[in-house]
Amino acid sequence: MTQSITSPRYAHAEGYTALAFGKNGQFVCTGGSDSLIRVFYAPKSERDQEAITLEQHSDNILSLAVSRGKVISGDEEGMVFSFDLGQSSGSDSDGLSVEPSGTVLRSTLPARDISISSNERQVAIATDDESIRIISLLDMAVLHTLVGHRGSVNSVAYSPDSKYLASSGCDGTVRIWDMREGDPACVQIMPKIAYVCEPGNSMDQYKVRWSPDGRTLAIPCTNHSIKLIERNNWDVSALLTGGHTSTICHLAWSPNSKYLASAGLDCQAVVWDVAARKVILSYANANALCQVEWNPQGNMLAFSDCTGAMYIWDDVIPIEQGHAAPFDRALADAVILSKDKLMSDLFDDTAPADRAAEDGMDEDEDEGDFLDAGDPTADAMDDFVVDDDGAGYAERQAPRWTAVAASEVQCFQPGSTPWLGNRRYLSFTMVGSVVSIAQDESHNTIEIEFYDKSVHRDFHFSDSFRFSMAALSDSGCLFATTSKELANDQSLRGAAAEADEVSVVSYKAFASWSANSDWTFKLPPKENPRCIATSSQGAAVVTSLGNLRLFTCGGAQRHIETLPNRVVTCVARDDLLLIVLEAPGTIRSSGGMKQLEYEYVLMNMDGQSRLATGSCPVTPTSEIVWVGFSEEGHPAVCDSKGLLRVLHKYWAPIHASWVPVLDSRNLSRDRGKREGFWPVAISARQFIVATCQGKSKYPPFPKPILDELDVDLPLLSTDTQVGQQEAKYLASRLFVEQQRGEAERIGSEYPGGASALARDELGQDKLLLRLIQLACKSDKTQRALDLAMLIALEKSFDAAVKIAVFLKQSSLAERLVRLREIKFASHSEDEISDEETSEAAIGQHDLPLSRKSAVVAAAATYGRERRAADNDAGDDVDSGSDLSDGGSDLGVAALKLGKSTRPPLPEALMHSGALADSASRSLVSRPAQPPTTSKPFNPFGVATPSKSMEIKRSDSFFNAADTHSDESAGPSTPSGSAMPVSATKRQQPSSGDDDAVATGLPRKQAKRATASDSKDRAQPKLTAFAFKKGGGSMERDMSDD
Amino acid sequence: MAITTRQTEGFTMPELEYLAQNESIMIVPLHRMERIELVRGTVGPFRPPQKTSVPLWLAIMLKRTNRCRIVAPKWLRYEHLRDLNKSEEQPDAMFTKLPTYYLEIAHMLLTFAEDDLVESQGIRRLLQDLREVRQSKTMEGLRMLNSLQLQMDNLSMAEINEIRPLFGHSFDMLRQLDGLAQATETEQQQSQFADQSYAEMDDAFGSRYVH
Repeated sequence: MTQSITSPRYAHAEGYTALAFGKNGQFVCTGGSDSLIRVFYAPKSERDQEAITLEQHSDNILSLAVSRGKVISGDEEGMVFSFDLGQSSGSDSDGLSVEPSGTVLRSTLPARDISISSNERQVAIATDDESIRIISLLDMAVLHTLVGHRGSVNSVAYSPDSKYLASSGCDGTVRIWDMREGDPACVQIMPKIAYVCEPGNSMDQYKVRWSPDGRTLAIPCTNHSIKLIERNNWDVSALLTGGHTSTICHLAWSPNSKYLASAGLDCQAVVWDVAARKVILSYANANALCQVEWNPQGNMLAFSDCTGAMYIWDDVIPIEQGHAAPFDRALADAVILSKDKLMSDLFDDTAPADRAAEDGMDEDEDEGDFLDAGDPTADAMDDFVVDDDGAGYAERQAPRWTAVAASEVQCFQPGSTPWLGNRRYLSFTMVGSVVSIAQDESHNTIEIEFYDKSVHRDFHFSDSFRFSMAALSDSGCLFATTSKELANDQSLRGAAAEADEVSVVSYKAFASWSANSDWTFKLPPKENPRCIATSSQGAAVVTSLGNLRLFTCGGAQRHIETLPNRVVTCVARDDLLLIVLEAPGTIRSSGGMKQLEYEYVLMNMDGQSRLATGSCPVTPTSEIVWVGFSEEGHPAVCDSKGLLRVLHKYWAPIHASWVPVLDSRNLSRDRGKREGFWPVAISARQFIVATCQGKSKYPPFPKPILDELDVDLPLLSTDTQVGQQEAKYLASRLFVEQQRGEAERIGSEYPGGASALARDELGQDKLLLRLIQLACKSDKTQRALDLAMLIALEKSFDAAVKIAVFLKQSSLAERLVRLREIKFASHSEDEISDEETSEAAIGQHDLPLSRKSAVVAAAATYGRERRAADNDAGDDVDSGSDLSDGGSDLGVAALKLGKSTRPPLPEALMHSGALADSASRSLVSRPAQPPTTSKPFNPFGVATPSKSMEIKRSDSFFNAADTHSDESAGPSTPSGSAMPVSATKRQQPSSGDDDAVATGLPRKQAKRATASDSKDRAQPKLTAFAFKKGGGSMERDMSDD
Repeated sequence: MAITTRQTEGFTMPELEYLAQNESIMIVPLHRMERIELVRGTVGPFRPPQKTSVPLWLAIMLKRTNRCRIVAPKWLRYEHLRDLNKSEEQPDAMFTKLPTYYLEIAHMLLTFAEDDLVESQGIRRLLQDLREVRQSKTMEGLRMLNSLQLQMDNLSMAEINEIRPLFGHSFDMLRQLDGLAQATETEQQQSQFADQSYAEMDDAFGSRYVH
């Protein structure tokens, strides 16, 4: 018999050498005492290629395990590392890449054996202490520690369906653990079945191995024999003897379970025919053998010896001599026969999956993804899986079954991350962060850290519920747990345990006057929290049954309602609760591409009223990744493309609209590197993010310093100064409007009082003035006029006039002066309504300052040389002092203005009328507007032919000023007399003067309109006026002329 | 203005650090606080976790009472320093741009806020390297000293301070020597002129040389 065994390939230094085949049979990994892992190509043609060497370990490598996607290795100092297998290019072996992907376990004692479960989610590790660790490969958390062995454990092996775990100890005991339940239990102890070996020396130790069909466990035992143990009844079914003359240390089953290879200290590798229970082949090596492995895909055997050499034995089974191939389906019939017995297992397996599917569990989706995820070896693995027992088949069925459940809404908790190592952020807000740290299988630790250390102390507590969600507010933290989450994160665990596990919602108050203000509720079975939110005014829980449960901070149940079962997330601030749902129109294509649509509900925290509902836009093919409230109270949403939107005017039900405020994708592109931004919070001016390092999507531990991105509305041409200023203005306007709206909504005054409002308005006006200046400089006077209409404060308007004068835009200045007359006349409307009735009585001492300055500016445009006008916007205007000529001169100035600079009805004014028209339509259209029959008054006076009219007007406003001082029974302040005067005037019926009627009517409408919508106080009045006076009446004047 | 001894002899390191404490630095406050009005200007308001810029002395004061985290300036990050070091070590490289008080600030941050710096040991090492490279460059530069000028851009305060006594004296000395040299030159010229006739000289220089 010729044996085709390669010459020794000295892979490692002398010593124990571990060995494992890749699942596709394309490569073989070895690890040795030189602390290297080397990956050799197994096919004959590629065997001479250079091996891949991994230098991750720093001590003797004792154990290796290979799954479809990972290599896991353990060394003598107890480090267990994992490596990711990739097969990048098409050519099957050239593209093989092995990248370190993390530490699985740091043990203090050598890791003797490693076994990966068939779903590749868990790994069992045997170390020299008495326990076996089961570790989740998803998050490297220790799921279980199996205790029971006396003395060190030297081998572990998952059954191919991962239902059982076999382990052996140095005292010769083999234990079988049932891994199906949440907590693995030892179902069988076989004391002294194997030989007693010396702890601490891998050479002398043995390994137990399952046959790939899952029916038999092979155990090397005393007298150099091998015992085969039958599954389920755990009886010795066969004894293989006669092959070895010394201790057997390693076993390997052929892929079809027909042959068993064993390696022993007698330097022999022996191949057994299991059915015939006899040796069919043996090979005597020069040195003691360490490990032996079958190629899962071929008639090939690899073994290593204690000199660090690796041998590959091709064509092991002499097929031509009538032996069945080790890898084909020769035993298919046997498998089918065994199906009867395994049927029960099959049902055991699918039952939890069904239950899971009913509850829309992500776990099965993941599993489906995993199997369908185009694993390059999956096709090659087909045979292997078919040869597998029924459980594998069932596992493949599951994803198909749950394809419907895959369209389930995926909900999330804003500011939470998956497990990153043994930690995860449950919540990350401007208040602080909540971190869960995995401890052991019985509890986690929750750490709450605040940013503002003066308000609350950081604290941590031991969390026996293993909370998976948290929501943080100033006054407390709400936690919730679901068995679903457990199943998600911790592999197989929750599925089986779900039936008896009940979800818990728990609230921890940070500071309270009352002693026992924490509370905990158990939800009914089958009702699990999906997302939670809390604020200073209560707590909200949305459950898997679609119930929205609202609690007070003290734990009183305040409200319950049922929402459509599509809730994505929710978040709360003070008395507002924002819930985001998936819209019914959401489409998901099978390819993982999603066209998601969302809806939002903004409601009060007491559940009594809804402020706004509607659809919640996202960038196409993106999804919502973060939801929150701005520091000031804007509801905000960030999608996965980095676009941040706020819900503006949420306080006015039908006006609520989503305004994009920042495109952070542009930002990171501008910065030139690919940085990930992880949203934390938003304020009026900034978007506060944690910057993620490298490819990570999540913030690192420890808590990083937050970055602030300036809010930058995606306007057009923001690369120019004008665009930037415009964006700034709009942002500031959003802020002021929101502050005002919010104050109105909750019935308080503007935050910071009237002075703050004035300051904010002034700030806005400054931005406008800068824009006006820019417009003037580039001779865009129409634009300047448009902008001037937006100015809120009178004195800023004066500054605008000054700017126009200074920049020699005289025609603009003129129009501005007239606009100003209208705009701010409407503030003190009674001045005008009265002025016509009074007789001429010139009183310049009472002349309102602002009026003075305007006329002065007008005079300046007329030709007087003025040097004062500085263009620093927002400064107090005191140009009135220059006015030495007295009031009569003013009248003349105005008159001259009307006469000499009369342009042929400028289209600019027409345009401004049209603009005002559109702006005011919404306001004016509400009350039916009676047609004005009386003679209209043209405030612009451009085309008015009669001088007397002009004079009368200019006279009359001095009269008005005088009348005020008479009527208000006290010295009226020169500039600020508008409000008290209007209060007294309102009671007086307006006189029959036709001018007054003409101007009075629209003014009253404007007034009504402003009363209903006082946010844009100045603007609507202005526009209403401009509409009436500028647009309609001018034509009539023209015809008069 | 009178020249103080400090200007001739240089400052001590603590004095420089005192000066550097007026530089501003970003902190993340850990306590909420309203605006503080100080003589030098206002700081705050502090709204954790938003960053604010404060003078270094205040940052250190807050840090010592555990009321803030100091955000390491960009130039004091490990990667940045490494790049700086690389470009500094290029042959013929000019001095790289660093803040005027970089050594002082770095020293203070490493003393008081080491836990806020990532890889503080590495930063220490790099700073040491940087300082040595720059020091040798300064010495190199001093060799090019002439009586008119010495140009070394981007030199930091501490580095200027280091060379100040030497530089001051040598520059003075050079100027004196130069003056002497020029004097000798004019003397020589004068002796040349002496050869010419006094009449010519009268024409050329006017009445100054009339004896």
